[in-house]
Amino acid sequence: MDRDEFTTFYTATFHRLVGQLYAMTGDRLEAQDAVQEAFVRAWARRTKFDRDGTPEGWIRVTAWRIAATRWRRAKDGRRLMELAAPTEPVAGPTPDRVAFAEALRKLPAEQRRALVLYHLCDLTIEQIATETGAPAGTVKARLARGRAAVTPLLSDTTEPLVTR
Amino acid sequence: MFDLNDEMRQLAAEASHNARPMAVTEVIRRGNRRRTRTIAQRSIGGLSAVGLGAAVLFTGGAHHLGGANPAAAGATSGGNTLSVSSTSALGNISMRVKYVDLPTGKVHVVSVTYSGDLKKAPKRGSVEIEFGPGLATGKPAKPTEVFFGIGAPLRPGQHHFSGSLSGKRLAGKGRLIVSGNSSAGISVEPPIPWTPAGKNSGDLKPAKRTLTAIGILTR
Repeated sequence: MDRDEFTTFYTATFHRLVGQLYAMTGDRLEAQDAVQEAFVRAWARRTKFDRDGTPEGWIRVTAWRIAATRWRRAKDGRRLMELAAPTEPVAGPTPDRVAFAEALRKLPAEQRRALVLYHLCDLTIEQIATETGAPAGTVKARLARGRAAVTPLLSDTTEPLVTR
Repeated sequence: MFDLNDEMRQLAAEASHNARPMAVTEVIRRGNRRRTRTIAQRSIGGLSAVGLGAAVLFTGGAHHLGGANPAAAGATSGGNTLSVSSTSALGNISMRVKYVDLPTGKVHVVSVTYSGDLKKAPKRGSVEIEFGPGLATGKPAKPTEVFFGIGAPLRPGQHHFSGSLSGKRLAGKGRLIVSGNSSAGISVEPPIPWTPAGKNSGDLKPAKRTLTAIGILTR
């Protein structure tokens, strides 16, 4: 990928990838930082990163790993408190959106990732299995558990938020 | 009716709408810097692993070249010259570094010339030249201690190579801030698959070897 192709690719996919990473991580700034760093790494390995024909997938996987690594490091540090504290998921969201973001955040990370890849990135079970390195059966189980966990959380919280 | 697809898309749309991307020129600049650092670290890792042996190899080479100093760094009217070379089953490689000791305690690399012949050329490789701390302690150099590295790509199937670094390519990089000696190394990356002579290649998995030469910029 040469400079012009990379520029086009960056411009076309940056915002979309930040949205996907935000849905996976629940932290908008973290998502943006991770995607930004993934693009830097992509340019540093520009002869390799698009070799399998899915550069966007490469960026998404790399950004996820960056975010996961940072989260693990933050767990024992001061940032844990910031992450664990009640947060405003998005600026000026509707109550429904807040409820959905909170519901997603309560899921285990891999279930959240599977839901995002399936429902937002429109990947198939097999593609999710490839991207996450998990067997297809595990992906199906994560999706089922994730959906089962999100739906009641939304039905519990959406009603009061809307009526109040 | 709750629609997970729709909810997910709206959530992502809000985040993506508010995202503020860095300028692509800055991404490219950082990527280039990261690439240079990675190449230097990878190469110095290889150099560190073979550094001691290569330094010994080089010392022998220095005598062969007629240098009185074990490090083959001879003072000349314009400064010092370090010559390193290495010959193995993979081929041969050599490098000459001209440098000057500055009164400030720094070493200024003035020019670098290099050449080599590979018996088996890599499909996609490069010649990597790195400057790092001296190996006097006998400990491997830490990747973070690499002063700078410069890579020159090889064409696919290229057996012979030669070149020089001077002027612009060394501008801003050639001054090494060191308290003791520093090292200069040259290697061909990536490692080349190699089967020892006389062995049945069908029974033996080829090892990967790097052609490397390293020397000390004595002061």
